[in-house]
Amino acid sequence: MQNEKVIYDDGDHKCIVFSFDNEETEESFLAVNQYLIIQNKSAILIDPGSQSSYDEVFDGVSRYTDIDNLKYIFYSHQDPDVAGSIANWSVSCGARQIVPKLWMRFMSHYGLMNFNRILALEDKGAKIHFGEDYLHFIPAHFLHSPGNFSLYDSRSKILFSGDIGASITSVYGAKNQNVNFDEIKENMEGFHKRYMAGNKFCKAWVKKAREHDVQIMAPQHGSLLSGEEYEKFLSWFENLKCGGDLIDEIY
Amino acid sequence: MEDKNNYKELATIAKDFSLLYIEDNPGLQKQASKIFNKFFPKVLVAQDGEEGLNLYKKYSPDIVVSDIKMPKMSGLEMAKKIKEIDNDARIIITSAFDEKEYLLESIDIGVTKYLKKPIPLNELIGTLINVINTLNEDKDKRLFEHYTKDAFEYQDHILIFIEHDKSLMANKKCLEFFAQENPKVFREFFENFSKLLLPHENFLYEKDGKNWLETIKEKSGNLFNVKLKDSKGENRHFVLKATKIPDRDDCYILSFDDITELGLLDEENSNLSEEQRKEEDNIRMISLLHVIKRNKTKIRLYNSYKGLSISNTGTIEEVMSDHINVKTTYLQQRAVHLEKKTTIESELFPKALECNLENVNFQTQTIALNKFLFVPYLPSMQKHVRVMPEATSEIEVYFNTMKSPINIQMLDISVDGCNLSFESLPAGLKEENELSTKVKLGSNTSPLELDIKAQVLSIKEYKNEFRAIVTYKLETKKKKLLVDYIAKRQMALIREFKGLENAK
Repeated sequence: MQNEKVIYDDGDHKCIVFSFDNEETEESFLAVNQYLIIQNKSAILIDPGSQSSYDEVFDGVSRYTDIDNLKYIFYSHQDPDVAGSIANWSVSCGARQIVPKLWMRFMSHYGLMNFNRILALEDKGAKIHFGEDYLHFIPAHFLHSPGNFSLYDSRSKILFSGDIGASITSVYGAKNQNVNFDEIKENMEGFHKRYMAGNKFCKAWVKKAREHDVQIMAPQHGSLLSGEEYEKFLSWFENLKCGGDLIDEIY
Repeated sequence: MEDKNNYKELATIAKDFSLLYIEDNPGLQKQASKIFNKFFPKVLVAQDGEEGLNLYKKYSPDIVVSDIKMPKMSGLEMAKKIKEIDNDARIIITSAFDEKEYLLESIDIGVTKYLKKPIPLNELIGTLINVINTLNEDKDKRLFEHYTKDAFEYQDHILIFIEHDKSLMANKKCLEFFAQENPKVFREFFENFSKLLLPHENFLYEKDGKNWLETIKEKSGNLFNVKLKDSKGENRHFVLKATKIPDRDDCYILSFDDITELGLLDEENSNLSEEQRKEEDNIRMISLLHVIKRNKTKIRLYNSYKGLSISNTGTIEEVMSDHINVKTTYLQQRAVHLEKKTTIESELFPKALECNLENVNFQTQTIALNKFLFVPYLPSMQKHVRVMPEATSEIEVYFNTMKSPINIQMLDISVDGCNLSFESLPAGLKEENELSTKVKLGSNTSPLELDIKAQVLSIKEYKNEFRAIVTYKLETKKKKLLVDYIAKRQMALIREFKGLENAK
């Protein structure tokens, strides 16, 4: 499969990236990534995407595990390319839907009235057990959504960063782990400057991210960054002037 | 004016404090002592550092004001020795010298303030006011700590303060219960605490390798039933709650509320009549509702609208002998109002509790519930979304290759099962039988038609009908079509529910 790749596998624990969707405008092309973590018979699907990509993601997940093994589905924020398929996924399996608490009031619009099926994340985040390891939901509010989380998987040491670190790339470039940050920096800049709310938030997130031993950063759009390239990204991001810092450019 | 106010303030706040003044210049000593005596009820005076230190050791004054250059022992030497006795001692150094060296040494020692002579009276008074204010703050803090420690120590519950998986502190009740000499000994004892949690149905104990402590931390604020043996070997029933300490990473207070007296651990007494058992159940349930209210723990309310589950959390505001008041969301209130009943779940209940609606108060967001009855099912166990299909939907059932001529209705459908209502039961149909079905879902213009092979899971007889739950495992293509149908139907039902005028 051209648009899926196993990015971590130690025999018991596996992480897969799918790139089953894209957002195309006149000037840019943004690949949308969905992620799956499997440990034995437990799985979590991360940012499953829009309604239109549901069929492909369903098939993709089924190639690696039974849909009924999905224990959790995590939606980092409320955007349609993240959460558009909530209704379908809530019907497909008995997984608990993990969402920022801020977006609970939207759930009935997405087709969920059984709030027992939802694990609502408080602003400060949460740490939950997953098999023998844990998943840490790290606050990423206002980057860009006002209620937003990144997810750190303690076993694979992958940080699923949502919109943070998104870069404009082709659908095939999404799974490339050997990306040089300096080469894609330019592709990141426009998106981050316009979508992220301000440098104060970037700094707060970088501080939180640095509390974890991260091997790979896996954003919802574009390429994965690892090792030194990830460090370079952090240094760039914590100093980035964006959103409210550049208010005069848009008002 | 400002000076006068300062005098007044110092006169008021200094009355509970003592001061030690050390100065070798007799003139200055006399003059300053006179001023200090106006404000402080007890003023001690010394000629040099050595005498000052001795007086400090003897009387532990609250504030020390000292010159630097003095015979026998300098002011700074004395300050250093006083700090060794009490690191929190408040020391004000006065000096005619403007030498950086003294100032830096004073900072190193940790003196409270360095004042340069000649000291304007207002500056001295201002400094003393500040020092007394910090002393008062410390006193309040110590008092608070003392009383919270007391509250912790003499609580009627067993309390354990933990950081990560280690016990930092245990209260008196805890040490007594586990026959441990002191918190230090208990610390080691706590390392094997998991072995003390005895297995009991629906209780918390180490099972399937799941760590009990991690379980309660993940559900911090929830209540758990636990069974422990006391030092006499008797089983006790506790309600356990973990409360996270704000701003301290991985620190919790574990509280164990002994509810053994409710008799929930006892075997059911078979000699009781049905009436007596109901009465006993009711007493136990009211007591449990009180425990939930006392712990401010959330309960879950379940309702349904045309098969669609509507569930939210709520809190118990009031418990009376015949009704309870529950605060919940507006959406749930509407669902309860529509169904005239609700089902409540709590970790503390042995089963789910069905209650009838007494009244709804939309202003206070509360509902009054009565006529409680434990029911033998848990709504939370429903794994998949169910919906009632449109009236135009149809189902044909084939049993032993024969089409059943009986009128059959789909009450609700999900991706793994269907709830069917039969006017009468096809001859010979029983649980575990295989069925073939032809299902037509949705509108007549573009219905979804599926052939589904199913198995009968259960059959129940009602007054005018039989109900059977059938289950199936669909191939991917059919499953996706059914998912799509249920997701759309779910949306339509939500719109219908929200638009219902009689829902409020």
